[in-house]
Amino acid sequence: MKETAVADTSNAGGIDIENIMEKASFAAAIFSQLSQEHTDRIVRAVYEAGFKNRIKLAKMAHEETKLGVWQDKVIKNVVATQFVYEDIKNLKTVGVISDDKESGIIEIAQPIGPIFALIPVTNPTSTVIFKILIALKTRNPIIISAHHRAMKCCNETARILYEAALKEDAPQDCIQWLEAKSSESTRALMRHKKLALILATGGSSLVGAAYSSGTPAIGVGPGNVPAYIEKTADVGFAVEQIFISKTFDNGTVCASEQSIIVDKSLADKAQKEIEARKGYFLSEDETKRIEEVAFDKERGLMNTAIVGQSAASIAKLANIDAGADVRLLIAPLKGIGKEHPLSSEVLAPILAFYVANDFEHAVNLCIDLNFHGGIGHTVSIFSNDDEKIQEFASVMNAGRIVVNTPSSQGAVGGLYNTLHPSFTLGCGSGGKNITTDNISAKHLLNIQRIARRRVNRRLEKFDNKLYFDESIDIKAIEDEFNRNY
Amino acid sequence: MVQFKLEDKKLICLFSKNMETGNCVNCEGELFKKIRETKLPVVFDLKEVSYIASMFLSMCLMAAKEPDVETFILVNVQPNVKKVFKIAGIDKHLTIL
Repeated sequence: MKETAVADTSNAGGIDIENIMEKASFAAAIFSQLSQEHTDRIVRAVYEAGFKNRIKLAKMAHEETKLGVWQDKVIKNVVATQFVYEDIKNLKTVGVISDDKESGIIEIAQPIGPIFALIPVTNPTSTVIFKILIALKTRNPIIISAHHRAMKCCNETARILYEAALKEDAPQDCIQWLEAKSSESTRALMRHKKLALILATGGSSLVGAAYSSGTPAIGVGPGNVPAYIEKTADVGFAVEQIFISKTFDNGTVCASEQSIIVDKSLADKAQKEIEARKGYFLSEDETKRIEEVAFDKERGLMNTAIVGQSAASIAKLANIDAGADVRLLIAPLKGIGKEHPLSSEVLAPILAFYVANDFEHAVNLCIDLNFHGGIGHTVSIFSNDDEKIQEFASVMNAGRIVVNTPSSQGAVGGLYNTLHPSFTLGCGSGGKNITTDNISAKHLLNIQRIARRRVNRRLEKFDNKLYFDESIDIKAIEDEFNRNY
Repeated sequence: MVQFKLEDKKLICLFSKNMETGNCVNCEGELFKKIRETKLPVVFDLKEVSYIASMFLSMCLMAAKEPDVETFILVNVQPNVKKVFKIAGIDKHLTIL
């Protein structure tokens, strides 16, 4: 197999960007000739290789990053392989993908070209698999740039998938990965004229750099997911779902709940249900101690040292005796904002807890939380009242409003709903993104449209001279234009 | 897979198959041996070629850089293959007629 890992050529932390991009351009060129059948064979082989290695790669990711739970990372790898594959396998991505005789429009799918993929430390191997699958399905070469704390597991993932792709005659260098990186080389790659797209999954600064590079970019925004337990909800069920989600991989999913908002009438029951599942309610003093360890006050951000750690180890760091089997730390809060650090996003098993007087109060709290660092991402509601669900959704700024669902798994899609399974969740303009979609293969295509002649028949009968007569009002022109003889 | 003809003091290389990696590997040695022996301008005729692998792109670049080859041109390039040279960005370094 031709070596495709990119060596550090400068011995100064730099990389040979021209070489990477030349290889990627060659791969893009060769890819453009592949048929749908050949493309699908490659994708199938890559999916199988990822699936077969799901446990090995999950363990590698856990060992290297020291984040989360390896068993949950296996599930993430399953979603990234089996669920993503199921979602895209029948998608037409080569040549004519639709032909509408009536409208006269034929759509042709074309690859976009080399993609630069930024991979976060929180979901490393799964995001690599996901991005490679959707890139190959659309005949685009991809360059993987892993977070520096997840480079080994990400590059091994890329290597395994590349080997599988080559066995099905995929273009040489269709998957590349960076063995070393620096912010300078990352910026240079992002700005390279031969690069078609940046798939930026990561922190705000990285996503911002991608957007300002001049290359088209699909990014994500940060989350701050409120989970509202409305009065028609089954409280025990709701709490169970929130535990499933927030304990998953120790809360590393950006769509995981950050706070519970519960109607006053349900508050006691909710507390009992939480405690029964080993959720520990913090006192005011304990909340302050958790804030100390969970937040970097200078930067106003969560402390990376507690990201993806267990509730027990975080409690220990804060000198709190929450029990060895504690699963979630619950901080009852009275406010939202900088003065209440735990009202912000924390990718760890810590949840804020609010009691609302009524529906209106609850929705207002959720709006404040949603707009406190999580605009455009995801919100969650537990309710059996469709009207209330829609009312709640209409005032949230969120791409995904998940209902009666663990939000980590719900937002990612494919498990609890029919959203497209994805490890890149668009957050719309609120999150400074171009879309609120769960990003998938369809976003990596240029669609050409052959527009056959279909003259607007109303225009044929219409006297164009009317457009030049200012004395005729708009209604008269519309009536004439729409006249049904 | 590749036939050679000497015509107007040029070496014409007529490729008769799609130039997948395997075919490139099989003909590379013979091709460059011939190019170096004849020391004439080289023409790659791609009339019968509708698919090329990345190795073929490299072979074209190598042929163009051969020290004793004064000119190197590609002829009868089918549109879908021409597009490959364009996407790869190497059309600027080669003469495609």
